[in-house]
Amino acid sequence: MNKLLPLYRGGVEAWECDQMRHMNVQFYMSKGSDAFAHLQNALGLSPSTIRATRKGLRFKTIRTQYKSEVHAGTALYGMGGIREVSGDILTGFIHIFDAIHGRLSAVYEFTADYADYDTDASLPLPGDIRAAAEELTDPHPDVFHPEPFAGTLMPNRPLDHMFESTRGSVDVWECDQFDHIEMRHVVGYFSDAATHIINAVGLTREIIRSRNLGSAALDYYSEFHAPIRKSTAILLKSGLIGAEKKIFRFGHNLINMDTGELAVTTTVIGVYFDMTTRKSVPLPKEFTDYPAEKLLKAQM
Amino acid sequence: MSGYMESYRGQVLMRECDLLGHMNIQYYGSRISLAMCNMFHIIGMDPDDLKNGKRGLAVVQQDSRYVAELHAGDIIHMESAVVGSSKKTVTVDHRLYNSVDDGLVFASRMTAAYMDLESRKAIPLSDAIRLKLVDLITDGEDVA
Repeated sequence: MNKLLPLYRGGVEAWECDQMRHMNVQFYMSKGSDAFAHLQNALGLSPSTIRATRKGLRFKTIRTQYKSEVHAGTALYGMGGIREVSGDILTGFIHIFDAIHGRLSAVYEFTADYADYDTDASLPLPGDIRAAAEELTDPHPDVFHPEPFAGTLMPNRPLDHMFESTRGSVDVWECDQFDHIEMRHVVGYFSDAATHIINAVGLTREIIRSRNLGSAALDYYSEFHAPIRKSTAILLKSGLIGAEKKIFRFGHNLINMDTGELAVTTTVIGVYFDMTTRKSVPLPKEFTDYPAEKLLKAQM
Repeated sequence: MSGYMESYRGQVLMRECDLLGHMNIQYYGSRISLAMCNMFHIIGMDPDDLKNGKRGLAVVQQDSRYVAELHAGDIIHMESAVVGSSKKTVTVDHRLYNSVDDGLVFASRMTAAYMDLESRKAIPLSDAIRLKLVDLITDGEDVA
């Protein structure tokens, strides 16, 4: 039995690329979500079953590593599988490959539970789904497995010196058939926040352009604490955790303003790069000069 | 099916569904667009070649049949094959399936002209592409 499953195939459309001239992180997530739907089907959770029961798998955590950038027109494919079933939690992975260069482009390592999509309650894993998952379980030693996330993760609580980086409401067209925000749009909010972070350290897009710089995320770790539904008022607060040499770290708290709940916490590691050579460069001094007392790491 | 290869695998999003409660026709085309990323690669047209060589394939004719409905959340995949060529064109046959039961939902045969992206004119296929096509071309099959 082949336990490494083909879960995605497609490519990079021109309109999925951002000002860094590579595919934006939200579209990686879109392709990862497509792959997750196929993985659910492999576990017995077909689309018709999910529609009938209004229950299915839901991400609890997602670790994302961006291994190599991809550009418009690049053919992509995705593979994935289940690494472990522990209690009612599944641990799995989805890897997106650049088919042109034959290399790994993005890594999703996730945990997921079985949930009621109407009440958002976490439910025991049904016996048939558990059996299917156990049948598919394999540590996949020959498949890339990232090292544990480097550094401290954002705590599930408000921190001082976080600033507003996005404010809005969840539009109907950002939601799935169960009125939950699609994962792509959660990542989209984080992506938009990056420009506000640049601004918060004293940089502008014009300065960035004049220095021929781009920025790229290398590593995300997201924890999902509460649902975000259609037309919810949301607020994203962000802050710089630290900045040394070539690496910056920042944290996001996505807040459901209707309930006041902290819905998602995300820790991001990233770099700046030269837009021509596409190689990482030392951080702009505005990052390394950022007041130490405002860095979130002091509170973590 | 001989000569056909997987060119797309994904799902139907809620926002792609229309007042009839099924995926709107424009999004079938979006799947062909993604499938063609893979078919360009298969026939030897990589993104760098398109960018540096200033060449591309542009659709000049397309015949489609919508066989079954798709709903939000459905998982789908497409298989495609090169089924013909001429001095300046390549013809590709695409079949979209519901991945749960492999039932055919959509079929589309399209002919694309090899195009100089500066003059915006169709030009003869390159020798490299022509050689690739020799190995790839298969007889398309009529679908129900």
